[in-house]
Amino acid sequence: MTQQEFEQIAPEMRDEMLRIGRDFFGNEMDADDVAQEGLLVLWKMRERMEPDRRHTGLAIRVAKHCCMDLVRKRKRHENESLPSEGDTLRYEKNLSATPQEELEASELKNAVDMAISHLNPSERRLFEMRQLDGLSNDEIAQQTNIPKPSVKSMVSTARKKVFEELKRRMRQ
Amino acid sequence: MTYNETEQLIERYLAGETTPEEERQLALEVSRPDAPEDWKIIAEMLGTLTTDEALYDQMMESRRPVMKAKTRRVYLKWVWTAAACLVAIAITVPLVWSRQSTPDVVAYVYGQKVTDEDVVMEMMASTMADVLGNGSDVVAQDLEDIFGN
Repeated sequence: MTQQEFEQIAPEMRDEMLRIGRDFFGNEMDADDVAQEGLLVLWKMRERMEPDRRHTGLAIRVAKHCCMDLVRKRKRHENESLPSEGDTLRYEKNLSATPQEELEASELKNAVDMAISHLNPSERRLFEMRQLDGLSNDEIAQQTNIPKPSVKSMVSTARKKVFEELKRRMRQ
Repeated sequence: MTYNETEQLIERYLAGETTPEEERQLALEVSRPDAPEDWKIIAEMLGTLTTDEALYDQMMESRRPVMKAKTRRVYLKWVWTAAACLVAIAITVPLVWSRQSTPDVVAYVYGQKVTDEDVVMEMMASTMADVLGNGSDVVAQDLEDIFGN
């Protein structure tokens, strides 16, 4: 997707992300932060975004990620707490990683990116449509005109390849 | 979710059989700090977007009972307001109605109380016709008839 194409769909995606931020934090300032950070993330992803497809679903996922990221940052600074409602302890495990755990996660992420880059283009495309866009096999079949059983088979092959490569790397 | 259930879900994930919803569920399980090494790989393969979407949805879900209670409070407030309005209307409407039905026109003709506006106007017109048409003697007689006794 070109810069111009991105700029055309940016307002719609921003509106969606503002809505997600507003629903979560309940105020405009945080919602603005979520939308701004979200647009930045999407901008970095624009090369893999296909111009003729809708990206609202991706924008929503990115906005939710930005909400969680904001919660993590605040938790790290310990100045502000998690949203007070609900049982926050259940989420501690996912939101309060130590620096060591973050480093390990970052190394693992790089390894996953490397393994994905070794997939053939069609496997990589389908892997990312599941991983990044959060699409189901049905939705991918509709969008790509690939029969659903083939989608499932290609997704499976891609995932197994990545998993085996990562296991091999971790053993080294 | 038990260890075995998570393992089964991982198998289905690798076979490309899981739905996006199952993958969000799996993401929460495999991103625990105490998760086995293989699970950590799966967590990274599922990606941050999936894990954070699962976290977001779960946190919003956990807030829902609070939101439901708030909604219920607002709903009850409106019910009480509506009930108060109905009571006010029930009291006010009959009062206004009864006032409206109270006669505004009251006249005493030949000692009789007349409240019907049409009748009063008819009598007045007739009286005026008499006054204008019959001269001062008749008027005097009329006045005598009205106020004389």
